[in-house]
Amino acid sequence: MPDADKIQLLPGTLEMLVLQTLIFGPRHGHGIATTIERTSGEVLLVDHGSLYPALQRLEQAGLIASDWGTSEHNRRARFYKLTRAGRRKLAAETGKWEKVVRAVTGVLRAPREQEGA
Amino acid sequence: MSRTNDEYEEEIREHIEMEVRDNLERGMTPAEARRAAARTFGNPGVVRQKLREGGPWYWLETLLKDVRYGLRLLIRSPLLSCATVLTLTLGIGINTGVFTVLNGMLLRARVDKSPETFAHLSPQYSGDPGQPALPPTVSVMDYRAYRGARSLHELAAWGIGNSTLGQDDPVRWLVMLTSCNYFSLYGLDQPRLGRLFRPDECATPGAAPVVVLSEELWRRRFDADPQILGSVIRLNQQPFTVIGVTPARFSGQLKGPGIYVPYTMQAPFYGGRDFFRESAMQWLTVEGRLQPGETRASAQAELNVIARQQDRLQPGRKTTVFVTNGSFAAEPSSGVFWMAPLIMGALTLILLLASTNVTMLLLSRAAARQREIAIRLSLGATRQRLLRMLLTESLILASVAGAISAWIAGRVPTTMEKMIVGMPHYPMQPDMLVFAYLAGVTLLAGAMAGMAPAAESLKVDLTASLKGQESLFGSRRSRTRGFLIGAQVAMSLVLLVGAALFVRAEFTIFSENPGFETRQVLLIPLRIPLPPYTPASAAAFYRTLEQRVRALPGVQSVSFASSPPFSSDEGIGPGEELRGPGQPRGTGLKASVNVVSPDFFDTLRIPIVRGRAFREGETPVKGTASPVVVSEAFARTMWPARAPLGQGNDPLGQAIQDPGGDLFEVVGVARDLKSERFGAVDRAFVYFLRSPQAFGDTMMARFQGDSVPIQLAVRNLIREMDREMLPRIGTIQTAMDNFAALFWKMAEMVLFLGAVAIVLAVVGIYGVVAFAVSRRTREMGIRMALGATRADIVLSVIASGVRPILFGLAIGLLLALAGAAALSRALRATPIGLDVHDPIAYLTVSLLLVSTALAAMFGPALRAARADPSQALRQE
Repeated sequence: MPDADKIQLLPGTLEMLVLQTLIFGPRHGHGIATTIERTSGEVLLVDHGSLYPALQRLEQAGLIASDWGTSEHNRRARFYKLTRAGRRKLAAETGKWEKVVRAVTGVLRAPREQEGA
Repeated sequence: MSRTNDEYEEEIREHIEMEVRDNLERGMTPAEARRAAARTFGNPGVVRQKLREGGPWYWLETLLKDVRYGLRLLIRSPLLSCATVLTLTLGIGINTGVFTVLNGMLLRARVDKSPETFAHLSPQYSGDPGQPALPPTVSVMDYRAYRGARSLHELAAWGIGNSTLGQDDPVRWLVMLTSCNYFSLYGLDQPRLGRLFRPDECATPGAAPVVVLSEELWRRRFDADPQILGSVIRLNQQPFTVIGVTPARFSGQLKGPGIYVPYTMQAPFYGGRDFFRESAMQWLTVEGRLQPGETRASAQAELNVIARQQDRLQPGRKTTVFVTNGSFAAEPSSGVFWMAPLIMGALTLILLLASTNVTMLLLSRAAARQREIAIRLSLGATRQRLLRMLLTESLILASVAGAISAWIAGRVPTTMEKMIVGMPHYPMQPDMLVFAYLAGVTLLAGAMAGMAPAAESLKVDLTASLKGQESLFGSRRSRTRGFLIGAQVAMSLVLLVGAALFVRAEFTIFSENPGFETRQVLLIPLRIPLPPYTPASAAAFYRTLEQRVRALPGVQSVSFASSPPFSSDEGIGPGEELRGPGQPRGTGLKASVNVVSPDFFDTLRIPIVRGRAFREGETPVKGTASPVVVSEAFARTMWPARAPLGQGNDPLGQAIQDPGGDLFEVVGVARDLKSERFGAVDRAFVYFLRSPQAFGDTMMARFQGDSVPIQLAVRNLIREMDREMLPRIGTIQTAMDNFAALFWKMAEMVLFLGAVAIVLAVVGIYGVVAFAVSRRTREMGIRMALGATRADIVLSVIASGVRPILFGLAIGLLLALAGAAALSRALRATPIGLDVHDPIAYLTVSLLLVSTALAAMFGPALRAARADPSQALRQE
């Protein structure tokens, strides 16, 4: 997919996405990156490198934990998993996000409804 | 939880490998796959940097880097660093030292053993407003009631009195009237000798006349007599048996010579009033220990309940008891709260001065570093990061100064003890509070000294500075700095002039011949208490003693004088007015008077320049003109050599009249002495003849050989005649030396302060000039290119700094004159004669200051002159 169609993430949303990816189980950095890309239909850009400072922040905040493990190709890789605090945080952030989205969408759609009326 | 950079490194590598593998699976060529993976990942350098900065120890890493960098810079300019550290040490050290003293005197209890459980009762009484306010002390009745408190134990009480020791004692010694558990409350278990009080000695008022002496008193007054236990001494004429001696290290509320008596024996120390019968009389201070688990607040609550019950016995009184840690500051209404800002204000001023000087020192370097900073900024360093770097430097300097100051604080207790003889005991060992204060002051000084230079370094116009066009005109603040320098010069001048006057006065004590024998004459001060002696028995005592001393082998001459040289207790009095016959009152000559026995001139070897001395056995006779000897100064002033003709101006045979109207005939003129003030010729002196019936004068004995055996022999003679008389015997020279030593301590202190002031001033002057020079490199370059010589440059630099120095000198001289006048007024009653207008002192000090100031300016001036003009121009 051409780079022009990728969208820059809003600041702070990357952390939320990372937490969401980890909800189904531990993953390594590359796995997280590809999952975000795939599930977003390759729209949301992850400049893969920027993932790591975000992982560091999350880990220092105690929202995720990490440990060395073995990857699907039998190589050493660092696996990240959600902590309980991370799970709670994700729930809260998701709720907040949905509210914002609903509100923004509502505003964006309003003129069209008016036209239709 | 922290992760190493290596771990992230491996993770990133692995991530890219996975991406490459995925790309290969998507069908790219290996080269393509790698390129695409790198593109997807982004810039790994930026990621690494971000990870580093996000790491939990990043601040430490940068701090260490800053410290390393700062240390390198400081080592590169050792002179500047030393000057800075020295100045900061003066500021921080003086601050911490004074705070240690304050802390010991005001903020801590005077108790060495576990101060945390110590409880001091401070009762406040209110009630009838018409009555005078009651003192914050406790009566015997209340003390007994408070002892019932369950939250406290070892509740002890003490009052203070004073007492003579023996009969001829002019000194009133301090007496502590204590309850019998006082020593254990203050942590003393074992006496030096004998025993401490038994509980039963505090049971019945007046029943146990026992006394415990402090080791200092035992040594000073009883020559450390090992047989002292069991002997009876008289306190305010009442007999007390010595049962023990406290060790010197024990201090309690009292340090140095002191006497402890059970508080049940208080009557002789309070004018015979029995405070156990008048049991509502308040005179005791009560202190105790908290029971385990109790707090001062809980003890206070319990004591106030007891106090309320006690108040019922004394209608009209309302008591509030405060329980404090025993420190002066915790005392309600202690007045610390208005003293503290004064002292702290002065301390802050010193710190400010030191920091300002250091600021100026660092500023000159900061200006020189603007290029470096500009480069760092343009390479992307944030201002915040640079500020931290610059502040780290000044904080390193402050920390070194702080470490030295910690050592100074540790030396405070011994220094204070050495400096102030007989200072009461205070816990001066630095505690946590002192160290916290030290840390605070150090941080503050570091930040204050570093902030302006850091701002100066950062205040760069990037492009201009890189091109080298900044800083042509600077220093709007130069006026303020000039003023500060002037003030410091003035301060140093005042202190140094003071020191110079002191040193000169000290010098005269040792160097000037006073005009009479000092080394081979013993002073034997005698005081005869009139009861039990009668005037007749006292005079007999004097006569017998005189005969016996005269008979001692080695003694050559014995006499008496009412005011022996250099030893008058009351200082130099106004003197008596003496007139010629028929001269009206008020127009006579004020002269110092000494009443002496006939041998006086022989004993002290005072030459008689005209006429004769008193004759052996000569006595004043009522109704006839008794003989007097006058001093040269008296004769000169009373009968000037160029008096009008017809008036006899030969002093011999002249009659003079004392204020009482009695007539005297001058029989001799004695050489002028320097016996009132060291190094200063006495004013007019008149020697009257002493009556052989007189008593109460000081005996003087001239002897041959070593003084010690004679001293002991005289002492034994006196003790044989009266066991309770213990005069202090010594040669005149010893008395002078003791005085000189005491005086030297004062001189030392002023000298030290003067040295501090001059160091501060020099550092300040150097800093200002160096800064100005660093700002004017370009101007210097232009001047030199236009043909100015190096000497011109040096002169112009010095001229720019000279104005505040001259200003400071002028102000300082005025202040020094005023200060010296005040000082000599304060010393009027002592034998110290300060030559207030001594031009040499003022001149030497001014020259010293000017030359050090010039020397301080010379370094930067030379640097400016040595600069290569072409380079100076290019550099700017």
